[in-house]
Amino acid sequence: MLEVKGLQKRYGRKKHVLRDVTFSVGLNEVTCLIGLNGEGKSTILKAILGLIPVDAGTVTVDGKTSRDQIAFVPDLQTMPSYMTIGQALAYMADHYPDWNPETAERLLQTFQLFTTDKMANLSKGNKAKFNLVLGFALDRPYILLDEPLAGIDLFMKEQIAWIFSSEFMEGRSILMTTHEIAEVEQVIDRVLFLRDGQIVEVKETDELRGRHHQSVQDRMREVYQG
Amino acid sequence: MKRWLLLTNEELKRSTKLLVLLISGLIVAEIASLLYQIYDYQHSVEATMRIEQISELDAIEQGGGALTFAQATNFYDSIIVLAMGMIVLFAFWIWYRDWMGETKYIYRLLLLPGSRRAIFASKMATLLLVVASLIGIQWVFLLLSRTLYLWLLPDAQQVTASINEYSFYMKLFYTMYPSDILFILLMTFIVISFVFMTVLLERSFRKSKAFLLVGLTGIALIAGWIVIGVTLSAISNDLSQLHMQFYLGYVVLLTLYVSYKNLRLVQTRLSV
Repeated sequence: MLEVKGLQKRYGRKKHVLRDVTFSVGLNEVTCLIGLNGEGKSTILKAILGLIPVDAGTVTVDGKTSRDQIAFVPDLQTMPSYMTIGQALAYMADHYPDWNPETAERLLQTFQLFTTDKMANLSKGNKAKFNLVLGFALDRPYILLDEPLAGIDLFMKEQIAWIFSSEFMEGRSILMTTHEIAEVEQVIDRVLFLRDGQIVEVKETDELRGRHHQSVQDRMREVYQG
Repeated sequence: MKRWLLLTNEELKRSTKLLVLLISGLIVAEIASLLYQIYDYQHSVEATMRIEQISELDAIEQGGGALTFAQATNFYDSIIVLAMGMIVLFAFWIWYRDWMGETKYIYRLLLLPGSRRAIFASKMATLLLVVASLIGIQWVFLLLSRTLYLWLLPDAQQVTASINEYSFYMKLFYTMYPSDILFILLMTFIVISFVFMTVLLERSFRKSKAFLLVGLTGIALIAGWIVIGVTLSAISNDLSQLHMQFYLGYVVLLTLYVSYKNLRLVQTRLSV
């Protein structure tokens, strides 16, 4: 289980970005972190990954503070532009002992990406797909995704959203941030609503749909528009 | 070790275009300056011969003698100093490109498994390799410049003196002793450590605290010079002659502290 306890983050004295953020992500579930722009969604992911120092709080995976069980899929290009996809895959294989080349190969075929494609020439949608390849081809149970569907067209979104109900999800847990709720609503198990740097509500999507007859988007409107 | 080598290789690959440009610029500037000095000298000798109606030897005499190699390579000092400045800028750029560029490679670097110290070490190694290669290129190019000088100037207009008649900077580069090269690399390490500290503090705190810490280090550098000078003078006049040596020791100690601080920043504070 990925457990986040009491995360606090301030920028300067005035800006309190995260206030005692506490939640957990269990195995085999898709958790979505929802919030308006600037509420601290990406900051939470960065704090979990150790990409920013926090003022207080702990992050543990199965009781350990090591983050080597977590993979990250950012919404930006992290491989140098001069590389081809093949070179980027070789880079991953060189640096990550838990890199799985077979999974990478299958995902490349699924997404119709080619090893000779140059990073610099990839469209935004293909960059997003390749980021998914880099994240899912690591044999890690927890995957954090930051806005995986942002700024790409409908068909690309459908292809990307497909992965959440595919065989690549076996034994995996997802924590993602997204504004594109409609595209992933059916695969989300749990929603964390974030407001002013705090988790204000946690809802199981089955409960929302079953008991309250609400979609995540309906609930989102209520939480943020009152 | 393997990670460090892989990362250093990657840093060098990412810098290839810029380094080729820098080295080409250095060589072109030096050739151009050498040709200009030779052309200018020959032009002035010919003008003196024509106006004064005197022989070539008399014109050379009147112009202050034959053109020495040191005179012909007069601009090399400035070009080398410029190249050193470029290296310092490169030390800033090697970090900032990972945040500011189209690619946010810093995410990838900071998320690599294992210690982040390898990231720091790879960037430092890249800088030292670049300086070492510049020394090598400069060394070879000085020999080529000398050949060009002897080839272009008539015997009467050149001085076939020892190759050691160079200026301070050129003597520094044209060396047969590995200890001299190690000294240059040590100086590079010291300067680059301070540059890296500035970048890492700024990338870790991004506000007044970073500038305060950089300022304190600057004060420590200046205050060290003054305090050592005053202390040595107070003890003995003989000791005050060793001011520079003592100060260098102090700077080395300060650099060790800065390196420790840099590694701590990379490991615990650096953020995207």
